[in-house]
Amino acid sequence: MSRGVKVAIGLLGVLLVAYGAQLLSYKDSKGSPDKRLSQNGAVLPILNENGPLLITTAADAILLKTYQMEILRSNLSDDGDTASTLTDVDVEKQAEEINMDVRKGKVCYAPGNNFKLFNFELENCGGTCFSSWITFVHFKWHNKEFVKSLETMSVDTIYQLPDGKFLLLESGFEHPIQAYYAVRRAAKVISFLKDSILVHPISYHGTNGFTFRHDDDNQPRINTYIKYSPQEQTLTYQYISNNSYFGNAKNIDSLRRGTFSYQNGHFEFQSEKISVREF
Amino acid sequence: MMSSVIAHAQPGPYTGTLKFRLFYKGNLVEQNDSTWHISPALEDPRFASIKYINSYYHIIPRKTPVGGDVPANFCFSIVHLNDSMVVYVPEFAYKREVVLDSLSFSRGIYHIPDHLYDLKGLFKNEKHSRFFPNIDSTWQPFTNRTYECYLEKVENIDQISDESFSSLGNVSNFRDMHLYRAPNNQLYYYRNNAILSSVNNRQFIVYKVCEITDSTFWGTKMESPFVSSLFQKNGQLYAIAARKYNADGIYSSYGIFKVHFIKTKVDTTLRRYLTGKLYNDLYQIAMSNEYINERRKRQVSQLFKKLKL
Repeated sequence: MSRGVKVAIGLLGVLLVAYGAQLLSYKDSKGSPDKRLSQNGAVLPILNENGPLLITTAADAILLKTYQMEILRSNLSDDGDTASTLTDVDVEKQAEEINMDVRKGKVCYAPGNNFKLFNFELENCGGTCFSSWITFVHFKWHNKEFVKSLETMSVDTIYQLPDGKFLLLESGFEHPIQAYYAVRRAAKVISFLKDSILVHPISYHGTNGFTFRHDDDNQPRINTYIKYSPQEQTLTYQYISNNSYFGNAKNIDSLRRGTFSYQNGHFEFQSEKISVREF
Repeated sequence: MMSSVIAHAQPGPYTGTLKFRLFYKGNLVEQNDSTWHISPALEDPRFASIKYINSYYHIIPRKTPVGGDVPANFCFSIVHLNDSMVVYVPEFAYKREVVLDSLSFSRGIYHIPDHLYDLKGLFKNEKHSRFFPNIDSTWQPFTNRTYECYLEKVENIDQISDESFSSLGNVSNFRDMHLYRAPNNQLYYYRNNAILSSVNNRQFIVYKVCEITDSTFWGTKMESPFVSSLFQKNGQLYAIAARKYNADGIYSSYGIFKVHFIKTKVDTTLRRYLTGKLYNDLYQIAMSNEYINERRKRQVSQLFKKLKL
């Protein structure tokens, strides 16, 4: 047996032992503080913008890679029959041929290690590139572990709310028309019930989900954000809405700043201030 | 070379098939008995062919690139002397072979629901387990709407989690169903729009999860709900489920629902109560659905105001 093969086998052994150890630690970690938590209770996202998947722990690394391959495999073929028989090398090769890539894979731990999520961006490029996101949430209910997929964009931060629910702050890019990319942000309140993850409504302008697109193509640029203040239990946001990209509307930026307050288990819309600038 | 590649890229016409074996007073009905007439309910009889192969009648619709040329509520009739039997069958137009092994001739109109057909293989390896109604048993329950459970929304949910990489293929055994054991040891197997409630450890009653009415108050069709999970609280069974409705497109609205099991007929008071709750919910979710256009929302709003709930 060559030295290289021995080293590879040894490394695989170390990874598997670490994976087992991490599984045990995840099992017993309820309530223990996590080094990745910032002081205000938010999780610092583990993110690598453009490079390969960032390795956090050996177990997470193995799962990240496994999920990455499964996502590619399930997107290569509509019926999944052909792709399910492909080796990982073939899957990567075929995905590269059609400009499909899983980027920005990351793991986020919730405060108190109540759950962790694996978050991926799947990019498909033809004439232009389109992104979609895939998230797998690992959580426990009565000591049984469940893994469920959840519709999110890129999860930037997770907060625990006063009543035990969790707030996810998300962002992503969208490509509503040719040659125009815009940032999209969203906030989501989730809780766990038996084997399900429930996403609770945040009512905003007559819809049940709080999300917006930031149409900021004019100068000077204005930052967009959604921020949560654990002390005041408020959600504040800022973005620009401009419909001139979608037809004959006037080129008017509507800068919207607003606040939600967390009351009786849900975010209540408080106010929104709109200021306008015309070009 | 190029032309051959292009030719293979074209979508080809295809169809599913309906197969059944016909019995009368316990005896198999053979094809050469001229007192039997089988006719599919189609505008033009040429839209389907009927063949008799190895004791099975086959109804094979005309193939098209979008599946067999049969309507969604397809039925066929069997006429024998002065009696006739009409059978509405599960959907089979799309690459599916629907097989009814023991169709016993009996006068009347029968509806074989999809959710029961999908459970055919549920206990095939469990000799002592049974469920009812069953298409391989008496067809009497298929003459009326029986064994249904209705949903009453108690909390709105914006979205629910999904299975990860698992498919919702055919039910080939009971492991393909989700199982919930309630604190009182009552067992519930569930999947899509079917809940099996245990009578004892081996016997189950199959309930179809459906809405109290078949249509919205603005006149479109209510689709089958989708049960994601079950749980019990204070002795009451609840479902985490998706309610599906049509408003120029099919939309889902998620929630936690109280489950009302009905064996035979729902009483008027409960029907009125559940209908009121359903219409109120439909109004709320339609008005907050950003994909429904303003014109439709105005119509929904006007019709809702006229309702006497």
